[in-house]
Order: sequence, then C-alpha cells, then structure tokens
Amino acid sequence: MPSMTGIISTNYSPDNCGILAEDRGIAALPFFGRYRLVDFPLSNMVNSGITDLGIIAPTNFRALLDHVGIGKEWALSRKSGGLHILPGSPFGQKNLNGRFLINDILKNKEVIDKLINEYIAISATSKIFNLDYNEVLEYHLNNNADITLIYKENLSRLGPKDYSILTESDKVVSISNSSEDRNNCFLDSLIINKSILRYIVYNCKQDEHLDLLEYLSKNVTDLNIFAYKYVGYVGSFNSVRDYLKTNQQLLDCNIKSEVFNKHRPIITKTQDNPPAKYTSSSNINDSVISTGCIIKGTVDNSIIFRGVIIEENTIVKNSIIFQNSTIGKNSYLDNVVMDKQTNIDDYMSITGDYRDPIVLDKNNKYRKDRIYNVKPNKKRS
Amino acid sequence: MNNKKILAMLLAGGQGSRLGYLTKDVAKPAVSFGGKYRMIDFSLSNCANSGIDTVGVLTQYRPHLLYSYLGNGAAWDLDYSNGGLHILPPYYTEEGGNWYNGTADAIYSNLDFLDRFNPKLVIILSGDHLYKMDYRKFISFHERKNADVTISTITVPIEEACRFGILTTDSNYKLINFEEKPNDPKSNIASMGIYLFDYSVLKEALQKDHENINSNKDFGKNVIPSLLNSGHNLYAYVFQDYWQDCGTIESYYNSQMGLLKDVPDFDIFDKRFKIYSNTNISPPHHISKKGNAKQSLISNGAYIGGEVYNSVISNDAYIGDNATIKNSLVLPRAKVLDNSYINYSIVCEKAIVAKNSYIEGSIENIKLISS
Repeated sequence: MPSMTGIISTNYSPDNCGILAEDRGIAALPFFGRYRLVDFPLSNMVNSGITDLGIIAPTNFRALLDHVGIGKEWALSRKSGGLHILPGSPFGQKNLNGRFLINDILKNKEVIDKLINEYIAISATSKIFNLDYNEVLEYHLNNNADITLIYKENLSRLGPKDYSILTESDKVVSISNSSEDRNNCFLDSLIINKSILRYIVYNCKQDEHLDLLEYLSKNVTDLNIFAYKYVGYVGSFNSVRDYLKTNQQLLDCNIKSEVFNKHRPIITKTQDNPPAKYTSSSNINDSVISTGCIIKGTVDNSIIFRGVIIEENTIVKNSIIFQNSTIGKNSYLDNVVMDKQTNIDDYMSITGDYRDPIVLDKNNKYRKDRIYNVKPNKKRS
Repeated sequence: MNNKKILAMLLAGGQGSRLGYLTKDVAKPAVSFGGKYRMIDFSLSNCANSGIDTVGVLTQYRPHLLYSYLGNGAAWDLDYSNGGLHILPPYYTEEGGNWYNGTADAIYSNLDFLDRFNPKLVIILSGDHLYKMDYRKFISFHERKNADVTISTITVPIEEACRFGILTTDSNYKLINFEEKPNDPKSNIASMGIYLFDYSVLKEALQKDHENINSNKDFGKNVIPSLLNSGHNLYAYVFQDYWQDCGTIESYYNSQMGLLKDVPDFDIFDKRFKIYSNTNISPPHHISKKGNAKQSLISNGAYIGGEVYNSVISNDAYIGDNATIKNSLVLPRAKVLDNSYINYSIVCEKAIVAKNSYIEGSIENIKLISS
C-alpha cells in the first residue's frame, strides 16, 4: 500500500457550540473526559500509518497548539516528516460553505509541492469516528479514483456545513449542502490524488473564498469521484444539546469500545494526574470520570474531565464538567455544560433543559448570593 | 569531560522475592502501584522535581517491562541530550563479565559511566521506595556539613529497628556508629538506603571494596562501615516526611490502602510535587448503571460494573456486573468477572477471576490472586 500524507483542516467556525468553542476553536473543543476533537482525525491518520501530517490552524490557535505541541504523543516528532502546523487565513472562520478553504492549502503550497506521497488524506475535525484510512485507500486505488469521499448513511442532525452526496454505483453524481435528500452525509474526510489537489488549488487561485466541497459540487461530473461507505459509529453535533448527547452516547459500552478501539487507540496529550479518588460519601451511576478528580458527591449520567472536585451532598446529573472545575457542597446541577476552571459555590442549583442545556463560561465563579441569567449558546458580546 | 554537579544512580536490579507472585515476571521497580504508577516512578519523580537531569538505572532481574516502561525517560522529563536517563545492565569486558554482585558492585561496574559525566556528587537511590523528597535540601545539608558521605535517615519505632541499618550520631549529626540490621539496636535512627557521596570518595571506596575478597559488595554492610573506620566524614540527614519501603506484601498493600484515607499518608494529589509516570492512553474510567465506587482510587481505562469499596482499581482493569471488590488492589488489566466477591486481596496484573468466584482474605493474610 502506498503511503499517504495527512491534512487536517481546523480553520472553520464551530457554528453552534457557542462560547464552548469561541476562544479555543473547534479542534480544541474538549470531548469525553480527556480528549479534544482534533485527537480523533489525528489518531485516525497516525493509526493508518501516516507520519507526515499538516494541521491547518485557525487564527486563534493557542489552545490547539497547547494541545498538540510538536506531536510527541502521536509519535509525530520526526526528523523526516512529522507534524506541521500550517497557518490558515482569517477568512476561514467566516467560510459558510464548508470546512476546507482552498486558499488555506494554496497559502501553504510549499508543503504540497514538497510532498513525496501520491495520496493525501484530508479531514476536518468535527465528527467522532474511528477509521482506518488504508481501507479507504485500497478502495480508492481499486476504483482508480481521483477523489474518494467518505460518507455515512442516515446521519441525522446535519448543519449548514454538512454535505450530502448522491451516488450511482459507488460513483458520486451530486454533492450538496442544501438538498432535500440528505441521506448520505459526507464525513468531512476524503482521499485525493496529489496531482488533482494541485490542479484544483492552482485553478482556484483567483477565488480566495472558495471551499473545496463547493468546488467539488460544481465540478462533480468532470472529476472521477467515488464514495466510500463508513459503517461504524459516527458522533456528530451542531448544537450544545447534541454535543451533550454525543458525549452520553459513548457511555454505551459497544459504542465506546468501537470508538476507543484497542488496536487503533485515540491518542491524546497526557497530564500526569493521579487516579480519580472517591470518598465514603460518593455515589456514581453510569458516568465517565477522569484522572485527578476528587468525588465526594453524586454523579449520574455525566462526563467529568480531569482534576474536577465535586463536594459532599452535591448532585451532578446529565452534565459535562470540564477540567479543573470545582462544585461546592449541597449543590445541584442538571443538564449543564460547565467550561474549565469554573467554581460553583455551596448550595447552588443550576438546572437546564435537556433540549437546551445551560453553558457556564470558563474561569468563572458562580456565587450563591448573585442571580445568574445564563443562556446557552449565547456568544459573548 | 562533562562535570555534572549531581548524578543519580538508581538501583533497580532487585528481584524482590518477598513480593512473591507480583515479581514473577517483572522487576520490583516495575511492580504496579497506586492504580497508575510503577514503583520506580517515585524516585524518578523525585529526581525530576529536584532538578537532577542525569540518572543511571541499574537493571538486572527481568528487565523487559522496566525497559519499555522507562523508554528514553521522557515521561519523567529525563530526555536530555547532555545527560538524561541511562539504562545500565551488566555487561561484558575483555576480562569477562558478571552479574551485578551486590549494590556496591553494581555501581563499581559502572564507574566508566560515572567518569564520562565526572560528577561532583553521586546520589544512590532505590527503585522501590514510596516517598517525596526534594534532594536539593539533602544536597545542601551535605555541602553545609562538608561531608564525604551523607546518609538519609528516618526515625523508626525501636521494635522495628532491627530490620534497618541503624545509625548513632553526635549532636552535630556526625556519624559515630553504623550497624546493619542489629540484634540490639542502639538507636531508632534508620538508614533509608539513600546515600549522597562525593564522587572522589565513592570511587576510591568502591575500588577498595572491589579488591576486598571478603566483602559482600554491599553499601550498608561493607562500604559505609569501612569509610567510617577509615575516618571519613559521614553525616546523617534527618528526613521528616513519609517514607515507606514497599518490599513486602504487607507494606505494599498497607501503603496503597494509606492512599485511600481522607487525609492520605502519601499525597499523590499534590500539584506542587507531581508524581510522573509513563501513562497509558486509555479513555477515562466508566462506572456503569449497576456500578458504584466509594473510598477508592480508580484509573483510566477501567470499567466498573459492580461495587467497589476501599480499593485501588488500576489502569484498564475490568470489574464485571454485580461483582463486589472490598479492601483490595486490582492491578492493571486484571479482570474480575460478573458476580464475584473479592475481599482483602491483590488481583495481579492481567489475572482473570472467573464468574461467581468468592475470594476472602483477611487483614493479616492478604490473598494474592494470580491467573
């Protein structure tokens, strides 16, 4: 099997995740206790033997860079190849038509020009799945394709940047982000031949704002595009509600063991926290709890990130608590997504609706003698 | 020549036969501890937290898991181009080769390694002690006293003193007498087996000890007493924090149970003095609908389908549905299948406890469950 080069696009707006992704960018959005979204495409590529990999970074790349560093955890700190952080253009965040700004690739054309590998795997970072790109490449080669788009049947909750495809005997005949028939959802992942990518990039030189998928949808008949059906689990969300739901879906042991496949592990930055500690007053029901936590209260159907402290007689239900947050005694949280380093006082009750969870901003203190009007999905002005 | 100020030599070759099945396949420093650690993490973390950037790890018995765990030392921030972590197994020379024959012989055999860095001071450490120590304080004591050798000590109950090397000092902490495991101990100041040497003194002492055919080639039995007899300046440094040698099943079990207290004997949550380890990349642990956990430590990758009380559940361990784990240690990748009951036991690494098992040890007799 020939080798591939990887490109991960993270330079696009996170749409409806509100303040959760506003500062940190979509790639660094925390997920399932210890991960960030970029871990999934990054690990998929590394587990497929890709050792030469570029991440197109958004202009607010601090959190992303803090997480991936020089790629040590993914064994991408290489003398030859390894991880490249590629600067993306400021327009990326305003691109309404997709997640792959062609201009971002053109801007980093030195990297494309130097590529030795003939095949390029490209992925965005919004969807959760565990994929072996080698299987896609084999399919790509057997079909003699220019491009192979990876899709999932019957994926619900699509957003405006999600494309669906129509196929005729595996060949893609239509790509659209607006059509009625949205059965086959493109998973923001594809394999493309280097020569085709180069042709597209140079051909679109004049248009700074064109998205790769937009281009493909207009030129679908001129190109030899195939579709690869992914049959495993896909987690996808376009709202805080669905973000919470997707996290909870992974509490299902079958889904969990499929996504966190032992042979293709999802790799992330390690932090040297001690194991989680439970005291005699703790009660846990169907929850995932990370290292460094101290749990004295009750946790139910929730995801607790690293270093969280939950005090006595406190109940945390149907919620996600990001790292290093603390929740005081005798408090009650239901349907809350709480960003990192946030403190909740004793005797506080914060209850969201499962259709509309409450989002608490990071680095905040919520004190019981004040009134909070916390609205989900509201951007900071 | 490198001229390091301080270099650490970590003795990690011991078999640890008193730990029974726990060290059947792995060296004692590689035995799992506290859910996600291995014994050697504590000494290596002390080095990292004390600014020691060059560590030689002396290995001998069953080294493979230890080697792969240590890697290039990056997990403890010990991957330096000028220094870093070095694994030092026994080797062969033109005069032949031997296994390390005692602690002093192990260091003697690696004088070449020490010469390459030509350190001013050498600290001798063990790979199986549970403690947090800023060696910089130890070093500045040594320098202040202008000592040739400083021995780190703790006070022990007098009835236990016969298990240790026992020191008597003058009011200035200068060593007057040293006895290894005395029948009739003269004090309760015990050696922790941690020595700080001026390298020139160490080198000369090891060369002399090597030539002495009657010597057991042991620091406590031979090197320290002979340095004392030859009039060197030996001092005792009094370490006042928690220290535990985990060389027996009893101390191995009790020191981990001590982590579970509300105010633990040994605080692994202290952010100012982190314990580093070569961590796995498993997802966070999952406690299911039927599961619960109280008074316990649980690590990444574990699945808890049953009740866990006053126990340590290590990385990637599996507790089946309706199983009960009490007062026990479940080591990495062990599986306790559905409906089993385990009390006062240690479930060894990768061991599998069949469904519906009933295993009950006692505080005096901790059961060791191998596969």
